Amino acid sequence: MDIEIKDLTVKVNEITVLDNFNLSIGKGEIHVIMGPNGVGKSTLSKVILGSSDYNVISGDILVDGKSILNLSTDERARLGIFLSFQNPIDIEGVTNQEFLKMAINSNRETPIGLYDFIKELEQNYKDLNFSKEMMHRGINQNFSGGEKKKNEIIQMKTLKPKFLILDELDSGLDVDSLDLVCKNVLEYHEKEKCSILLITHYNRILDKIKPDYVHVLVDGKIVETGDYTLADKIEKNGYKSFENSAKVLRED
Amino acid sequence: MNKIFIEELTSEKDLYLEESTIVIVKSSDCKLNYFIKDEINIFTLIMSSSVKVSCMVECNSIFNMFSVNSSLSVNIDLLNDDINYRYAYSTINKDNNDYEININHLGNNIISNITNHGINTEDNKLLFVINTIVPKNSLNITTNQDSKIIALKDNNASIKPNLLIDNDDIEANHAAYIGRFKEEELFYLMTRGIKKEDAVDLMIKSFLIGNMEINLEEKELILDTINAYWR
Repeated sequence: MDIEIKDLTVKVNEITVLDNFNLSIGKGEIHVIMGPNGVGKSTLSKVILGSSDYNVISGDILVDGKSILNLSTDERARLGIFLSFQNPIDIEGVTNQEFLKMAINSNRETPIGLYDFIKELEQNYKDLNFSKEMMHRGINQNFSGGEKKKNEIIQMKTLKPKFLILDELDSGLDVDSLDLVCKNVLEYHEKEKCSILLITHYNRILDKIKPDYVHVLVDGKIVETGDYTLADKIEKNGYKSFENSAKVLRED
Repeated sequence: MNKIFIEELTSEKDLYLEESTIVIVKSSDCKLNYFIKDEINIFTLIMSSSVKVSCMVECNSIFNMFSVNSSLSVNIDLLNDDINYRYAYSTINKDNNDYEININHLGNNIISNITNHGINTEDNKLLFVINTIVPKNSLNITTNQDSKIIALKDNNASIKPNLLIDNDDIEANHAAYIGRFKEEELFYLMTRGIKKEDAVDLMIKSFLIGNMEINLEEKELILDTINAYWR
């Protein structure tokens, strides 16, 4: 799946959160967006999925050359866009199993057979080192932060998207869990040749998921793009050195 | 599974139930008197009726009740010491309806957990009055009541959570919520490809069924009832 974000300007309550934002992600590529808190990283992920909390003022989001701006959130998801949330919410009463079965069937002409569904789900739970009993619990109900992140990856593996947006996948995960989650993401990437947009503050996850491109986001704009070494530069010098670039872009 | 059907226009029934018995009330103005003498989990389905329920409880038990567009007046007497009692009520409502329940703690060392869930599909009146009653001579009581109404249109629902306590030696909690399903919950479900109306359906069914401790057959019965009534 090719994704192109062109000159995208987004506002919330008259405050500009993305400002003439541009990004192209080719099929199978791994891109990382890094930046300090509050610069629009998570906003971008929710705007791509069509959250009604944000107003797109101008620009476009193209998937395989076609605009998705007029599509609803569920239509965008059925195209194959998947967002792993920074803070996955819990929904009381809706079990993981019921919800995932409905989600799979929403993108099929004939409903999935119960045997096939349970078999696949059990395998995905096993891959993430999760008790299969968890599938009968409410979505993320009484899950720890790390379990919620693993549950997002179980959903990803079950729904088989073509474009993954992983918003701060590394937050809330201990070292072993981060290894396991990244292993599953990489195996999925290798198998499905999906595109990935990884959003993070830190470069520790980039030791495990090697990106093709690293972008620095400041004040709603990408101020610098580079390869993996750019993440090292950020680790060494912080984000302050990029604030001047943002200022120059604003003045332009 | 045994089923007791009550469809007379007016009637009064004494019910000495065994485990795995479902009571189904349809289009009736009736009074149901339950006598709970064994540790059982019971389920009652009430459709388009006006029903008075009296429940005399002598031991640990679970009472699940689901209603569709009905008015109910419920009186629970927890008669003995050391009872652990669970009561769960869910309703889906279209017209103006009232639901009032009294939970009388008449022994010592009683634990009661009362949950009430309602879906109001129109902008009609739906009133929950939840009265937890602990008289002066009942000691060491722990009682919780938790009530929620989800309004799908303009809200005209209300909840009155009352703790009528005449004793210091108790722990009593109450919670009440009236509102809509959270937009962030619907957004989360939709990001997985589920259409908005299907996401709402899923949330409704889960909200109503998740409140109760019921078996698969009882769950199927509720789902069939909701599907016939809703959409």
